[in-house]
Amino acid sequence: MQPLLSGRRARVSYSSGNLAGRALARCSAVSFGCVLRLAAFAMVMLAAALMPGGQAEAAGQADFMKRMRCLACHVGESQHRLDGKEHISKSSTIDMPQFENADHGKMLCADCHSKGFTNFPHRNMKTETCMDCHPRKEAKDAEADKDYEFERINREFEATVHFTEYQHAKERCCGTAVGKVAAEAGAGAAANRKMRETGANQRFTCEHCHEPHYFKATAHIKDPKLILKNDNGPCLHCHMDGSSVALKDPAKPNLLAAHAYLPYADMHLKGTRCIDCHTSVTPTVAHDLPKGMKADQGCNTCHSIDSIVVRRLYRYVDNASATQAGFHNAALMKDGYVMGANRQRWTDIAAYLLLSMGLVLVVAHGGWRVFARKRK
Amino acid sequence: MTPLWLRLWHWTMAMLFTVLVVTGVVLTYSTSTFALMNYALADTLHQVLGIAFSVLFVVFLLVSGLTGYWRRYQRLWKGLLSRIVKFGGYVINGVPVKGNGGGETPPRIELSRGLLILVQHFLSIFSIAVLSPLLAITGLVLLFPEYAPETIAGLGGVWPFAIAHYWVGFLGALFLLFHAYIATIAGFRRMIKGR
Ligand code: HEM
Ligand code: HEM
Repeated sequence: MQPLLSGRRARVSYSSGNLAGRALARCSAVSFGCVLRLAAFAMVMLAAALMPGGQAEAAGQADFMKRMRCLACHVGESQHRLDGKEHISKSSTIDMPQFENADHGKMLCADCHSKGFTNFPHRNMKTETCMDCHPRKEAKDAEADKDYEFERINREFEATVHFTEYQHAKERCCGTAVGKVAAEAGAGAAANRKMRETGANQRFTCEHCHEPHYFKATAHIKDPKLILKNDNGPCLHCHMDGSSVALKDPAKPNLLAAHAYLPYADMHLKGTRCIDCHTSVTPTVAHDLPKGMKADQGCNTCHSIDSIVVRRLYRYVDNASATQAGFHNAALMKDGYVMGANRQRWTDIAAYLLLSMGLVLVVAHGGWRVFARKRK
Repeated sequence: MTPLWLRLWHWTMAMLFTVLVVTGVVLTYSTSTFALMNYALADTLHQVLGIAFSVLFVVFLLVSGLTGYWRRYQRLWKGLLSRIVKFGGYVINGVPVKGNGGGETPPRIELSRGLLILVQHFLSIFSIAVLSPLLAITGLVLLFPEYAPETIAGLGGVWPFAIAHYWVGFLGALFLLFHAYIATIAGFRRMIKGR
């Protein structure tokens, strides 16, 4: 896709926007801050107007200008972090290269930040949530969304502890969700502040794990190693050892200890996704979270010739289940040997033959003995 | 006279070995929906009993070395293969009249019993000299996969050891089949009562 800002100019305007945005985020509402912001915006608009229009198409230009309005304040190294500090995430800045590389990278800010954002200070804002758009209706998009069964995902998610327990745990909340509760908060700067505070009252939403600005579906990542990193990120953010967001189980001092019952726990933690066990293994994209030990759905779901890992983590590897040099599911073996899944075809056949021959010998000999004894 | 320690050792090994074969099959030949027994249990059993097996093997080496019992195997081994070949020939072609001093040749069923006893001696020696140490060594490598090379020939480094262990385990299963079958002919008595 065509990058919104490119080259040196881009970097300059990113950083100036970023600075202005950060400085202003701390000021409350109108006054001096607003003037500065407008000045920054005007500067960026001027820069944009002076940009050579040769390559950029007219439509791209229009989108660019629309985004510019927001980016004047909101561009910069991502501050959209879930680090549990109050207020901080509401002054978020967006890392544009990363945003453009993500699945929503072609969308306009206002596509989701749909109400109340055009003027500053923002008032009566409304931001669309995932389920407001998904599953999408238009023919091609609908086809792409079909596999995910969003309605089922939503149902499953709303039955998990993340959804049912989280809203009561104020002190634990990072308040980044763009859930409906906040969007309906009252008007004005006071309400704006209140909204940030009530962030702590928000529910756990899809966006907690699928950060909408940077989210990339596994179908677009494909490489199992990258998918692994991508998908474990949101879980580990709260559940890893020493996480500042105190969500880890206090009864268990660390992740490894919590999984100590697994043979080779460290290898399992390194080589698989949390969700490979912690969601039901049967559907491809499950969002339920079987509680506690129910995550153990039988080692042989993976340690088997028809290993479900092939249908999940390795789903986008071409012919992941193919046999190479006699090894079944050879794609898995490139990252590590999986007992039960990486059987060797020639070895298997040889073993069957030899064992059958052995059995035939024993049975024949035994039969002969019985027969000979009877004849005596 | 077969000493008591050997008999106790032998039957413990027999039980461990049988369970190791069964659990080994479960570890390798399961599907995502079916396992002969709970896979986690099979894995735990296989690891725990595999370690017990290895320890008992070392115990055998020590005790038979200290008591001098190992000389029995030395004696049994002498000319074993040529005797097997000779007895095999008798079973197939009959005993040459000259060698029998002109008397009646023993019935074929007796001859084949003699052959099987020799085969049994061979299997016994094979099990302690070759199978058990190889099983323990390859098994111990699998027990500590973190020390295996990261990759071998571009694939996750554990596979050569897994295949080696599989094959030694498979030979072990074949050994068990023949050893236990021949035992029904050559007699359990000595291994139970000691004489
Ligand atoms: C009769 C004896 C044995 C048989 C038939 C046997 C068979 C097997 C088989 C078929 C596997 C699966 C290999 C694979 O698919 O990758 C296996 C795995 C394994 N075996 Fe054995 N084995 C035997 C004895 C032992 C012993 C003595 C030890 C230990 C010292 C041992 C330790 C292991 C370990 C650690 C694994 C890997 C399982 C895991 O990672 O949890 N085995 N064995
Ligand atoms: C179900 C399993 C087994 C049965 C029924 C069985 C039975 C027997 C019997 C009846 C004998 C005496 C043979 C004779 O008189 O020469 C014997 C000897 C022997 N077996 Fe086994 N056995 C079994 C498993 C094993 C296993 C797993 C091992 C080794 C790991 C083993 C190693 C030996 C050895 C070394 C001897 C010779 C002992 C001696 O005479 O010093 N057996 N077995």
